[in-house]
Amino acid sequence: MSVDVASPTEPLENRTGRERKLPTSSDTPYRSILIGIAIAVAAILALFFVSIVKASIPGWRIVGWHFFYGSDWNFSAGQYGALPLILGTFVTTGFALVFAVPIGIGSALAITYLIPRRFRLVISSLVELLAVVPSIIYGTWGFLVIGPWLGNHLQPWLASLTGGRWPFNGIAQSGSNLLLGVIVLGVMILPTMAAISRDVFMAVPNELIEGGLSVGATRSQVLLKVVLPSSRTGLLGAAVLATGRALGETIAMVFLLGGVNAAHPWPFNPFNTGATLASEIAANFGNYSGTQGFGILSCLALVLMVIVGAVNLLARAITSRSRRKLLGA
Amino acid sequence: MSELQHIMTIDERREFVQKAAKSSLRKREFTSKFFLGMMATALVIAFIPLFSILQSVISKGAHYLTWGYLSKPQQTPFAFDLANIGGFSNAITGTILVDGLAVLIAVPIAVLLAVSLYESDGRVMHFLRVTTEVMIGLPSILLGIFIFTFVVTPMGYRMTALAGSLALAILMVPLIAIASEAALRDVPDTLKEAALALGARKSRVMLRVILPYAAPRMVTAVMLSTSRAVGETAPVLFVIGASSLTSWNPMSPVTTLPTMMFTYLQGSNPYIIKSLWGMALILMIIVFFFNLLARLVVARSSKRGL
Repeated sequence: MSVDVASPTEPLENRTGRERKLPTSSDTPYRSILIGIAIAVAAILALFFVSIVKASIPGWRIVGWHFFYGSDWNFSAGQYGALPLILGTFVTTGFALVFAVPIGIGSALAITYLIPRRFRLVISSLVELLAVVPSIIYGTWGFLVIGPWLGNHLQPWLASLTGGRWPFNGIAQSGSNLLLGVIVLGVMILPTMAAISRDVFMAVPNELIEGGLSVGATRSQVLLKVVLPSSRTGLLGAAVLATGRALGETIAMVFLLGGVNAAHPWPFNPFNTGATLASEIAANFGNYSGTQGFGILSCLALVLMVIVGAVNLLARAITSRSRRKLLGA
Repeated sequence: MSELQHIMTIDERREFVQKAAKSSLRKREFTSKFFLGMMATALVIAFIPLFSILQSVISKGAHYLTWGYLSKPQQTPFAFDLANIGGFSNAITGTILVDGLAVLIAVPIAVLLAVSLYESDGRVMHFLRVTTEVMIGLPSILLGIFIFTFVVTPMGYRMTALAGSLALAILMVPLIAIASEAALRDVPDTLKEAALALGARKSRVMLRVILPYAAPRMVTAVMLSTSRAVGETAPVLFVIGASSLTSWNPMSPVTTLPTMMFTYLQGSNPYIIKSLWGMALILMIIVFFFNLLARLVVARSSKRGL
């Protein structure tokens, strides 16, 4: 006799209903809450993208294609050629990476393989402490400590070596300039680079290292020819993630880069002033007027969002494992 | 006979091999030491900025940690006495108000999001996860623009502490959610299976078994994201306005420590510029406090677990 057959005392619908539906239906509130939160979060994200696109529409009407090739950025004077800003974003990030990638990888190697185990936790925690220093403090430190030092000591000394020729000619500014921005930006992304590289090196199998040592390789040969090649992907992911951070860095750059030099807008002299997309938004937020001014700043935001979004998707494609680790650390 | 002259004696041969080996070894040892030295140098260079920042902030900021500066609000502009800068109390209460509200908004949403990321599979959730992770990497200034268009503008360009809290909450939710989801995934399957085998429903297993087990790491995630949010300037700069009054009203404009520093850095009064170090020290203490607390929670729970 099958279970589905109704007993004389109970109607058919009741029995089948209890047997089939009850166990799942009692968890329905749980599932609907989870589906609800997922939809809500997705909606907020969609709203986020839509609102930035929408806010930029009045801006695009004014700036047009000139935005992408013009070099005459001067927000308060109504000149909206943003190419110096876009280039400035890439140039500062690029040179910050030139500083942060080798130092980050080198110090991660030192932390993982060089220093005694009992100091390892302390040292790596100290390096990661740099990551939690707020951007505004980096800005203050760069502006009040590093900037004056560069302007009073390093720059005059370098200029005396070349006798005031390029790059120390008329464009050169002391105080806020691209060099100062690049130095501080490099310091800011260094802990990201070092922390992820360390996680990547931790995951290198010991057998590989022991294998290298057993055939007579020196310590540096093992590190250079075994450890580094086998962690190539992870290190690339770390660098791309650090790139994302650098591209979006805002507050410190407002003070350290000094804004686009109207006479010499191109960010190719380290002692020239400059700006990035993000820094220009923050610097001008106080003095725009109406929806059109806000729209133009939103154009900058949209371009920044597309660039950083692309870089982050790239980082995700390269590696998602080491990234999860940092976020959960 | 002449052929034999070219053949080395066994002693000569031994000497030759030893010399070659020694010079090769010396060369290899030298390059090895050179690279190891480079690594150590990299580590030292990585430390210089940290020490420089700590040294300036502490040595130049310590004498601002007095009751006078902590209890008084900032002096309004146009004061005649340049040296009379007032204090930081409006920025401190503003920071506590904005960040406290942000935590209250973010934590429940983030925990639910983490659970739903954990429980679900399929393409929709994969998309949600990718978007959440990409969201973490987006520059925080974009959040400021989003909240400005979506919250501040519809309210008649009214800047409020609550708007800042919303911006920071959006910053915190993906950070907490991704880290919490990782914590949930690390709960041993045996625990979960034991509970399910006893006939517990999924929601009950989550509430009574998985969440309590993962709680310390989730608390850590909240602390870390709080320490990040406290130092953020860009997302709140345009949406909270500014106020030189000490106020606890979430619907009023407020000043936080980072936004006050942002304004002060643009000024020219040397007394104001100097007082930046005091604010930097207070901000640093708050940020490091949450960070240290997070590490302690992890350390204690892992000790208990073992």
